[in-house]
Amino acid sequence: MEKKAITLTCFLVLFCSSTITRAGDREIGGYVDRAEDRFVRNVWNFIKNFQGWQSIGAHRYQEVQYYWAEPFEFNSDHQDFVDKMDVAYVAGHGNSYYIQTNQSTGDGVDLRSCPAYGDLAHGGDLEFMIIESCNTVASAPEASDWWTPWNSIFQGLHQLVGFRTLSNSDNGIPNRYANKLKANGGVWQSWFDAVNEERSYSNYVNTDGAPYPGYASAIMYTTTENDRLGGYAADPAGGTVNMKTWWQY
Amino acid sequence: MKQYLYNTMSWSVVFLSFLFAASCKGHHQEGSEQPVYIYSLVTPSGLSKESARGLIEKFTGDKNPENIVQSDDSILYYVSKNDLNTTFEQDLKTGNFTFNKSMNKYMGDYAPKLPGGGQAVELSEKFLKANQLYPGNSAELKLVHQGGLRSQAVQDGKKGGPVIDKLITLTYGRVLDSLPVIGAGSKIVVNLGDSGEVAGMIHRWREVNLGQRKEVRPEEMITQEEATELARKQIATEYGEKTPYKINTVSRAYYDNNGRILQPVYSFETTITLEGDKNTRPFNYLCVIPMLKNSPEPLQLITVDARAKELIRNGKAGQKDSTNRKDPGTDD
Repeated sequence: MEKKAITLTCFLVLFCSSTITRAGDREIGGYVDRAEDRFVRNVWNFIKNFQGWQSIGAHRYQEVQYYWAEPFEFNSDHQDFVDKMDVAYVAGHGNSYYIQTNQSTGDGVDLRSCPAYGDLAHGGDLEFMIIESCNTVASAPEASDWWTPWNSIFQGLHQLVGFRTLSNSDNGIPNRYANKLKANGGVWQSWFDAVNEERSYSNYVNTDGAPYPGYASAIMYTTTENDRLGGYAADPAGGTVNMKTWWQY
Repeated sequence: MKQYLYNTMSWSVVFLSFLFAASCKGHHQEGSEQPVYIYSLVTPSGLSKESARGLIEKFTGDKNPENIVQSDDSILYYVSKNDLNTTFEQDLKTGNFTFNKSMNKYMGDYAPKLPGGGQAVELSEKFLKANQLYPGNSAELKLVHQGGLRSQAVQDGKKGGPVIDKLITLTYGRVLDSLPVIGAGSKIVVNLGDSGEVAGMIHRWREVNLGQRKEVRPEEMITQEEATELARKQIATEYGEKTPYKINTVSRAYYDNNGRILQPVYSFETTITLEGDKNTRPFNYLCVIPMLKNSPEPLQLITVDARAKELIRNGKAGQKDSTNRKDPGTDD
């Protein structure tokens, strides 16, 4: 009887500790446009900070995917790639709503026609998507109904951050951003700070008028604007209700 | 005849003098019309987690800050456990620091009363002076950008609410020997919020040791022509030999890489046009070429970590086990 009780106790302890540990575990993926080496550097300088589990607030994060970007990772097979992650970091050439995946073949994805991301509609998981590229994260200055194009992918997704203008990469942004997140800073707030920290003085202004390294932007909900990796709001209802954008100018 | 010879010789001398002067002028323009230097940066001593704690209390108002974490590259990070918008960071190698305070109230639809442009500059410089953060040589400080932060929420899922100006952001850069200083350091960014309060700041500024500056001799630096060739190679390596590009401007600058020195560089502002993807537009690429043949602190701006390329994988459509870990996380 005593032996049975000990065995049961051990089983319960193991079960509970396993459950407690895994419930807080989160996944990070990195996706690189097959183009210049700087995109490899951009993604690596972010995910290198998550090699092995990193405790952040109530959760642990680890890089579990590091892939050359392919369109299927964002659309047909999203549930096994970007949408299997909790945080996805993407670097490549971009345009409004667009991210390139392969320069030589001209492949890329238009986020307006991608499936819904997040826990709600299609069994995904993604909470936070960071896209380091030119122009992808179009915000209010780019379109008066800026929320409409983002309606399709925002079905549980908490925040999308990136640039609304041309941007210059290959600098300290990904590494500093990763460390700010590890310190449990706000998701979009840390991105905007990291961009401001790279703002550089020269006679150099990009051809769209944005100073180096471009203007940051973010799409989210009024309920998720204070999210951080260590603790975030319940999944938003999805769609455009309460959608919100922040941008630099 | 004598007079003719005299006149001819005189004109020859004038012509040769002119030619020599023109030649010198041409050489002057190609080479170094103005001397450039290597400046050593003055780094404060005694930096520690304890000294940072004092700055956290001073600038954020948080008493007894907890959970200050240090990264592998000796940078301290602090985020208030009660307010994720109250943050502090400090690089213990340089003393550079960043803080944000009391930003929680700026979330939601709060519309702060922001100062006007001129008043913002006055308030910002007053704050820098009051806190002994203003540069020793005010001529080095230059306001290079005035912008800010805005937000807009959707109302009823259908229409845009008011655009709210949340912060004014002033970015100051550095000028030395009439040249801009570019790179990760030598900047001060001030965020001004309600009633002109300083809601945040990025202070990456160390004084330069003018007494120890070292003039770079012409034989120690590469020419602009050589730099242009290096820029061409760098662009070809990064973007491919056949990628069309245009060099818009070439200028000289100092580079602050948050290291021990400021060093001269050539800055090539280029436009790259990628062919093959109709969805992308021409974009700008800033190509920085060090001016020194043997820099005491190589910049290594485009070095790739070997692991970055070794570990990257090819995904397959239909691949179910897409993670590379035995203990993946849960779907939360």
